[in-house]
Amino acid sequence: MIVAEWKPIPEVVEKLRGHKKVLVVGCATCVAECAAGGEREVETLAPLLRMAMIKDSNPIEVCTNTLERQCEWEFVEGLAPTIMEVDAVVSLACGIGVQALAERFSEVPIYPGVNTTALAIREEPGLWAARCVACGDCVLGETLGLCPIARCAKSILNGPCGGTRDGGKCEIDENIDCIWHLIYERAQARGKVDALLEIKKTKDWSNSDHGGPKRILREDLRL
Amino acid sequence: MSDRFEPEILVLYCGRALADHNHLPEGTKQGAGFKVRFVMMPCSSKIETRDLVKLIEQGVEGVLMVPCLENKCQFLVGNVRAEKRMKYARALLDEVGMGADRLSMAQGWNLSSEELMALADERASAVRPLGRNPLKGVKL
Ligand code: SF4
Ligand code: SF4
Repeated sequence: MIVAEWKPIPEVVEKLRGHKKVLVVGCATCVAECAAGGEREVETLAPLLRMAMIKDSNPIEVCTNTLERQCEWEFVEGLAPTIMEVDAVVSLACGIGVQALAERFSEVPIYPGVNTTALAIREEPGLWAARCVACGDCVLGETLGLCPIARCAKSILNGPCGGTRDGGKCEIDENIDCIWHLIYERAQARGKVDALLEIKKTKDWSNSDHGGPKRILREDLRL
Repeated sequence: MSDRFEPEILVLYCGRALADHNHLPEGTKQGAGFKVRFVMMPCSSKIETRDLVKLIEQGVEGVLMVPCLENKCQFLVGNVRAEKRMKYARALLDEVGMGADRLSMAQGWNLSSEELMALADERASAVRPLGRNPLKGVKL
């Protein structure tokens, strides 16, 4: 899922100064799963913003809505009647959802209420960890299903780097597994250590953001 | 008539924290220099962060949550969850300048209604220095 985290509330409050009626919009998909922007979080942030703005001597009216998906035009369209009644929006969706609102309702300021931080999995309740950075040339087939791009601090393809701590933890953080240590362990368990020694073809980074803004065109799906 | 500030306290207590399920009737009661409402909950974990924040937004001066003792929860970890949410909600209130101390928690077991009232009294003393809730009476 796409993972996001709340921005510091004062940062959002700063943006709302001068506005009179604000809509806080959530998204019931990824950001709800990571407890940053679903209905629960929308209904938590709204009263906090009202309180913060009163403390700031700038009382505002705050209304709320949570879309099923903020990154799909069909759902975004449902906000049209409400948008007419507010003078700003705080979106708790990922950066994609925020931009969808800003594109559809370009006449209204849309402020992000979260920082979008990762493509991650929920490892345990309350703990999410990165699994992918959308590199555009997936190597999971060669790395036994463990991603060295997203999960190695140096994104190296021929690890480990030499800094792995005792116990197989990454040198940058004792709480993070050295992914190359895990790859090696998995290879050993499968009797595939030799395959790790093979020379790999050069990774093509041009299909990621290194190749400029990504567009995917599928003629078979176009009208 | 004195206009002495009488904080309004809301006590959310786990039904198991009281002796013999001797629940207090709902409705506002007058304490010594404060007003208090008692609300029984089936488990303290039923209260979410958004509920705690909203209660303060609605104008009460202080909320006291009284879960049962650790290891006594009928849902095993309900009171542990409640404690974590309380900690998070307190931090959020602090972030918006409302004061974390408007929310607090005190575990209870086998309490009499007098003991619960005494806890509310303590809470009232703790929130009095924070003054009136600036959201009190504000039409939202
Ligand atoms: S190799 Fe690239 S596409 Fe595959 S999981 Fe890692 S970052 Fe994602
Ligand atoms: S210790 Fe492992 S995960 Fe950390 S930077 Fe080195 S190879 Fe990458």
